[in-house]
Amino acid sequence: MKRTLSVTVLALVVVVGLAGGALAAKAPGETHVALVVKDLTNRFFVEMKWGGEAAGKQHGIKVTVLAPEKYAVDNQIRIMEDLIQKKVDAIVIVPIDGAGIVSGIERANKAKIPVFNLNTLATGGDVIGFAGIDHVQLGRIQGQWGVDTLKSKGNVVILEGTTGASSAIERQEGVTEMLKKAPGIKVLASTTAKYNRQQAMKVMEDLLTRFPEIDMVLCANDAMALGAKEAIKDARRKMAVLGIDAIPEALEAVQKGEMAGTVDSNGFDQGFVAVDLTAKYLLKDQKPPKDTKVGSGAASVITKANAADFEKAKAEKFKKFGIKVD
Amino acid sequence: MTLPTRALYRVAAVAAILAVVWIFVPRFGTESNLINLLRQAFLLALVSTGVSLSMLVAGLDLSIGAVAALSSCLAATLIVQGYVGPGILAGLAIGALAGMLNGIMIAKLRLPFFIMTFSMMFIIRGLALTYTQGTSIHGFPRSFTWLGKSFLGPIPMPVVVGAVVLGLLHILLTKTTFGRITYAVGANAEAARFSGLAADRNLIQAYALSGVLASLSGLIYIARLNAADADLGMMWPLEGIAVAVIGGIAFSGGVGNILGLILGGIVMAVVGNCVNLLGLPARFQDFFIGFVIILVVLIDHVTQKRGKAVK
Repeated sequence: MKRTLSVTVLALVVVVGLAGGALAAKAPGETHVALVVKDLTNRFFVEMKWGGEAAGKQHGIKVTVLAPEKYAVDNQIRIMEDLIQKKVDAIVIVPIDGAGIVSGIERANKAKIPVFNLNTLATGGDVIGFAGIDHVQLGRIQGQWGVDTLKSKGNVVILEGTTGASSAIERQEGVTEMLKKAPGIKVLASTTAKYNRQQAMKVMEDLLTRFPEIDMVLCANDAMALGAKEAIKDARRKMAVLGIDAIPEALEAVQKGEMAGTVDSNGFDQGFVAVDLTAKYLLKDQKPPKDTKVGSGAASVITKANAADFEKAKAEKFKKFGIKVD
Repeated sequence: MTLPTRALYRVAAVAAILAVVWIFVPRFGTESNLINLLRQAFLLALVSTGVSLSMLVAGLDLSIGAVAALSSCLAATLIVQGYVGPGILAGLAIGALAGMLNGIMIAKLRLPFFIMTFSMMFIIRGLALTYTQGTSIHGFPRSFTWLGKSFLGPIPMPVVVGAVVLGLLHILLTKTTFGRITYAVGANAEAARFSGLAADRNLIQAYALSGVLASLSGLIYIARLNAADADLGMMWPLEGIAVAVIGGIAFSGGVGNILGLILGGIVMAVVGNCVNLLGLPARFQDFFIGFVIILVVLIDHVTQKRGKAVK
């Protein structure tokens, strides 16, 4: 009896679904988008997955999120090959390596499966569009907070990302744009520590001996901020250290008062936007823009004062889309 | 020309560099900078010990950075739970194991050392990334971080550890059978084999020791950073080679004094330090290091030739 009931309900759902879908270019219920991220044990990509699933729910399409067991681009290509065999309707790819993924994208092109590129730019193959975080904005948020906190006066040191990397160039552009507006702020030094914790600690050690007075260190990512803060602690000096990305370890350091703040690089919205644009392409035949810039999840720097609010706002957003946070 | 006089040239060259830098680079001679420099120099020397040992047996260990990353990440998991001693031992054991594997493949299966340690570098780095999944292991107890952060009087602990390790290695290489065989194998492995020396066993031991030293360097670095991640030591093989070459360890094997690494470490640290103190772009560091290596080796060649002529 129970089974008959559930079968009837299921049949009804399918019929309603098909009827609704008939209006669109393709039935949402039959549409399957796969989102391939870099790594699902990393919280950043887990939130990206949630974003993708939320967008899928909104469009009523099926979204599967996958990541390689091993952090390697060839394993991502293998996943793409499987998805091509399964004939999914579209693949959203977050490449571990922008150059390495190209052969995977080309294989999907050959099978006429649309590919959307998210977060890390692929250097070749045909994609329907790209979306990524607005690095310039992240830099601006950090720089603006620096100017406000120092009241437009003070000594600042900047640790840049890997020389030549587009994210490093854009984050730096945003930071300096804000600092330039406050002539009372002196940039004592701006040098690269290659996004690397170890390198940042060494560079900071040298800068600490070179400059007896530093008020603030602006780092292009959290890993460098965490390295710099260790060097500062060891030298028994005090200054505000800021990072970007809001990785869990940095948020922990912010709560402990070891780092002044960090900027959210918003995995959730990146996942949401990519699946949303892909769904619109499949269902409504809307071609996505070539380059979509996703904004930060928090309009300002996450500090000890608002870290709890930030976590709460995030939790509410997840709740809104019915995502269970473990 | 005898070895001590050649070493003397080297010391004189480094002293000359230091003198110039001391005069022209502002804040170089401050106490805090010199302590900072000493720490960086000994850490570099320590990183180079593994590479140097493999160079002494006419090989090269390119896997040291990866081995340091994997072993220190695994050790860190135990250390954050409070198991400091077991963590350190486990880290060193993994280094020994990886090194031994290198040695066995090179000595017994006659795999070219470059191919073996180069592949090992990728395999071990891959394992480290898989293990940490891109995150870090952080927040060590003080009973561990003192290894990288504390001082003995005015001297930073990494300097003390570095000095002790280099001292022990020097004794091992100059006063023991292992040392004598190492130099013999490095000079001519076939000849050493024919004269009945346990050349293969020596090779395996040298690579195993290289692995242990890589792990030890890794442990001291994570104690300093108060965190371990799979990115550790990406540049170590190249930095280690630079320190070794400047320190007088010959690529052809069998020549060089391990204490020369202190000089190599000082030169490398001074170049990096000056680039930052002068506010030059970071790329200048690579540029200068390249120059210094060629210069030092050139001086070596010239003095060596003259020595032969005098003889």
